[in-house]
Amino acid sequence: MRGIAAIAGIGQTDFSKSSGRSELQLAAEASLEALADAGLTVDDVDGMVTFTIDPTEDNELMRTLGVPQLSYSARIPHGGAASSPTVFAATSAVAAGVAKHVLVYRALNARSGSRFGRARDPGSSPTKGTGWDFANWLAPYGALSPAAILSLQTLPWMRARGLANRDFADYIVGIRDFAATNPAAWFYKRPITVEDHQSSRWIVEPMLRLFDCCQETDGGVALVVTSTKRARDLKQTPAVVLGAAQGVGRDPGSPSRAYAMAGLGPEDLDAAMIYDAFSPHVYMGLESLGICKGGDLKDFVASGAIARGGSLPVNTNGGLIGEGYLHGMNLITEAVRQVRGTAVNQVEDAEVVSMSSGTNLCILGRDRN
Amino acid sequence: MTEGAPVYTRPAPVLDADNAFYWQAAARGELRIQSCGECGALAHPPVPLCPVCHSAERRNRRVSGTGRITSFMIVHHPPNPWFEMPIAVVSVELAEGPEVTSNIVEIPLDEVDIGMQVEVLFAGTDDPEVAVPLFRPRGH
Repeated sequence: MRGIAAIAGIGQTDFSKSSGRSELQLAAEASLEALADAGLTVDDVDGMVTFTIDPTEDNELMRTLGVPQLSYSARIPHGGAASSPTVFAATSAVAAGVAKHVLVYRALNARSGSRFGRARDPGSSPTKGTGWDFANWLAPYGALSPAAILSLQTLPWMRARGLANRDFADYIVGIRDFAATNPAAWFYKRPITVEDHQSSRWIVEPMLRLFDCCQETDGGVALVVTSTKRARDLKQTPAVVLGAAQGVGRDPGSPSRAYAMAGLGPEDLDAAMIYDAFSPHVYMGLESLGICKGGDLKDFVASGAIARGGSLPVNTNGGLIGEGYLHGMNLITEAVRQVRGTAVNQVEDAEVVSMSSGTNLCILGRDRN
Repeated sequence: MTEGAPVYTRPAPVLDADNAFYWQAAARGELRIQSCGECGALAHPPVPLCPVCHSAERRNRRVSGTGRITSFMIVHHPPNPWFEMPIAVVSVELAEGPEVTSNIVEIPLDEVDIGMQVEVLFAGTDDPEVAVPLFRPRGH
């Protein structure tokens, strides 16, 4: 599938703590912006992809936008890990020839609606089919929020690599610096120091302080994926899907499949967008993507390698922690902007940019033809 | 909730056909783990078929209740109506092999660590027929 499909359009609403509108409206606004960005209309849309946990049904979005017909519709599992493989699914549909213009959307009122980071009511929150099935084994023990539900296995992972919470401050200071110069970011113009990070209160000790946690955010994001051939005739510089892979299981193997498809390795990345609901995810991502060996993570991040001006800038929009938690999708729009050369924190000569959520990876790049 | 100090009552998990025996055994003061009636393999969390031999001959057997902490976290925030925070959540590798999630009690939170030897005890929930296994330092 190398190079067959491309992201031709991106759209995102304002990110806020109180959108004042429904998730369906946010999805529709982002979708129209992505279509206009690409130079397409609703009549062109014949595929849709979103998350299993997204509240907006494809047929409601179709009715809102006036999309006449879909030949492909899919939902991707595992909470926010679904973000990167939305591109994989849309690319697969385009490569298989079953859809020509796939609209990928995700919209949530994660602050003003049902607060995403809250402690969930164990009795009234069904977990089956949401990617949270295992949470039933944690709820009767007081692990009721995403920060707790996702953290029980983190400590031995950190200790094996010599990482402590203080080390995460090096990542956080870097992305808060990116967010400080990104007008779309919640933490625009609000950089912090290591001391600020270390004095923020514990959320889950000894892994997560407040400033290690992403923002509960209202907003919507959309992408249009089409064939690279078609994208060349549209308005924007195509962000070509060089490689993409989804992986589930103890040894998912997906990063190596994505690299093999792209004919590239981690050393070829110019910037990396790594799903960061919580700080440790970035360190796990740097390791699973083959960017840095576990024992070197602490020094690699402390050296400034992934911050502004570093050898591999990571989460240049401020990440989900600094810009907002659009469930990973705002890292895809940022990767596209980096490839186009239009990011507010543009990495010079960025040609190959990754976006990963968990061990799911897609690699975007400039069109070589 | 009425005025005054909150009364924290541990919530029962959601019971289903696969997991009910685990929580109901706890209400009788027993730690039980799913075991295969054909090959004897233990499986946790419970599943409808033996993941080793695919037999549907599901049994469960009482285990020793001793084990070792393999991971932990102290959950501080956000507050909730069911638990007084902070609370220590642990992963325990049982002497028989399977790992279970739980709380560790009867120990100061700053003394909890990976590698500690622990033993089971039980606590009730808001459902009188459902309890949960907890752990405390062994030989307490």
